[in-house]
Amino acid sequence: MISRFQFYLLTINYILGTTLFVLIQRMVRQGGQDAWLMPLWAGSIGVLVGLFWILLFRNYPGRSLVQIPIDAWGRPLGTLISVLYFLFFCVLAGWILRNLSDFMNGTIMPETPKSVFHVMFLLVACYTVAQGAETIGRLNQMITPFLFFPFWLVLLLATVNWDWERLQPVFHTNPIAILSYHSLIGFPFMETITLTLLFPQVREGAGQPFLLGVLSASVSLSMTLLMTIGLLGVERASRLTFPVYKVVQEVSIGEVIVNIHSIISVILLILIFIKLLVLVYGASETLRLVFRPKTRWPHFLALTILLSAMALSIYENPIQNGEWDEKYTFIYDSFFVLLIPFLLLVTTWIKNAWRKQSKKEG
Amino acid sequence: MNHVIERMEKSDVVVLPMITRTTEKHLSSSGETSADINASQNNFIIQSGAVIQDYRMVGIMNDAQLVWYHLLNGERGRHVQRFQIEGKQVSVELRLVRMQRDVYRQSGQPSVRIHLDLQLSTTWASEFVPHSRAEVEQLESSLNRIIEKESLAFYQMTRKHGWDLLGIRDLLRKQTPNDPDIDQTAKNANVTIEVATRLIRTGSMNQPYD
Amino acid sequence: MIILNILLVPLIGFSLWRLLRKKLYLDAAIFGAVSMAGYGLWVCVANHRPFIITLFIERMIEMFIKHEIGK
Repeated sequence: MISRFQFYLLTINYILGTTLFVLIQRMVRQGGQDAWLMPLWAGSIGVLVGLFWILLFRNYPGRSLVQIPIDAWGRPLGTLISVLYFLFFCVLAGWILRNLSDFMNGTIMPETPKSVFHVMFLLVACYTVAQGAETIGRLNQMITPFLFFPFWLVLLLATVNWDWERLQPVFHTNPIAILSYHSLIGFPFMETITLTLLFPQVREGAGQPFLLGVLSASVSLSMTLLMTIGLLGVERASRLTFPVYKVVQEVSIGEVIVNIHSIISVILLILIFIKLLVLVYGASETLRLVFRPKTRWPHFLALTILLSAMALSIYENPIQNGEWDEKYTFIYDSFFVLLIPFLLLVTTWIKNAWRKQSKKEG
Repeated sequence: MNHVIERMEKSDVVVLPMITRTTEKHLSSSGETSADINASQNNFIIQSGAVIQDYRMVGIMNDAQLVWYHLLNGERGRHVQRFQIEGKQVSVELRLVRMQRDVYRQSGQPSVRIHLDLQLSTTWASEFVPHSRAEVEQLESSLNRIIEKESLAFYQMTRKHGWDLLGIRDLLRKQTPNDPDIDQTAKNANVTIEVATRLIRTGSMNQPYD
Repeated sequence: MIILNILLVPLIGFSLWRLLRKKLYLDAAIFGAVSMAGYGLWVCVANHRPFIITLFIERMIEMFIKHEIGK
């Protein structure tokens, strides 16, 4: 079992995972100097979606996301839906592994083959997940101060380049431009459905820490965007693939504190690792809960083979990924995050109503 | 050195990098040397390639031709080239991932087909970076055509000079051993080059400044 | 391709054989299904013709939208 505080921290780090280096540039390009508002409204929608899931989970206490379809719709159809969720988690895991290798190849290790990063991360992730949810929660709790303080310290050091005029005029961007960027709801907020697999593992209820985690992550993202715009400006931030990395790369205080961008690289790697842990946990738990195998290690090996291949097959190049993200992320995620849970909830209500009716008649 | 000797003994042609001095300036005293530290002067650079045949240098290839030489010989490594695509200058990094060479019969004559799979990166691009999938596909198909044309032009140039830099004679000797006159067949062989490029990496800039 | 087969075939084959020897047929089936899916994707990658998952999903979404609009 993990504590509510551990789950809260896990939620924040899961959301920040790849968002900090994949989405910052896109949000600045879309929202301009008011882009820092975008995570706030997307986070609010994320909270509403979270409440919707909590409503579903209330009807199935102690059950996880992949067990509910079996309880609601029976073994055959429920297993099929659970397998779809398994593929959903695998696709997400492949995505973040590929984001990781693109970042490493694009910044500090251009010669290293992508598969090296994928396999190395997967081996460590599988080992960690095999130790259980407590290990994931505890590891994340221990590591978070080493992420939080250096990250903000390094950004604060960069404030020597701050210019308030880069944020002006404030609240002048067309609100339609900000609100129409619906893919931000899909990635990263709707992807938090993976965390619902940990709901039964959280002591004294997961709902509150989950929702607080989503809110805290959206505030954190908003502040990061504010810093990026204030330090780089819209013109530069929208043209750079990794603006946060660039911000820290340019830190130079008295020509003594220089080249500290490796700190941000390590922080981003750890955040990705935490997100990968949750997704690998999701995939392996789905197999364990649905099929109830007697062994564990062969499935981790199979997952390593599958996810390392998926990471190379997930998208052609970052440009195609960006286009896909803008056009299809929301639709794709909505199927797993809104449609299926909605159908499950409706089925549950109908079943409950029918049971009540039968009891009355009985 | 052994590799060069082996190629010379087989009457093959080999290309070796040339080292040149940046300037001919000679500095007489150490004081002058230390006062005049300039990497562009009084230094060695590796530039161009010497074509060696029968232990003699028979020609020189420039840096652009060296890129085609290395690619068509299946050598790994990164090559940065600037291309003119639809009026725009684009600098791309090319990386060979696979090269396939096969011999087939066309009208009774052996023909050689060379297929190159290249990975592209726009890491060095500062003039133009594609923004959409359509632009990426356009860039890839344009580069396929340009690289096919330029590498074929390179091959024609080597054939004109009588340099078998792509190892066509060796390939024909292995795949058509019954041919009575391999040298003549290699000289007259019809060589086609197919290129398939894929953009894999982008750099830290996704949109150049206007 | 050869290196891929040298790495993956013994790894998958040996693990599968061990599971079947212990008569863990369900485990073997799950392992086989997941690892063969991965092997299939790896073969496409090794042949430099990767099966792009997002393009496949995109096609499915477009087909569904066209079908719905067509109605």
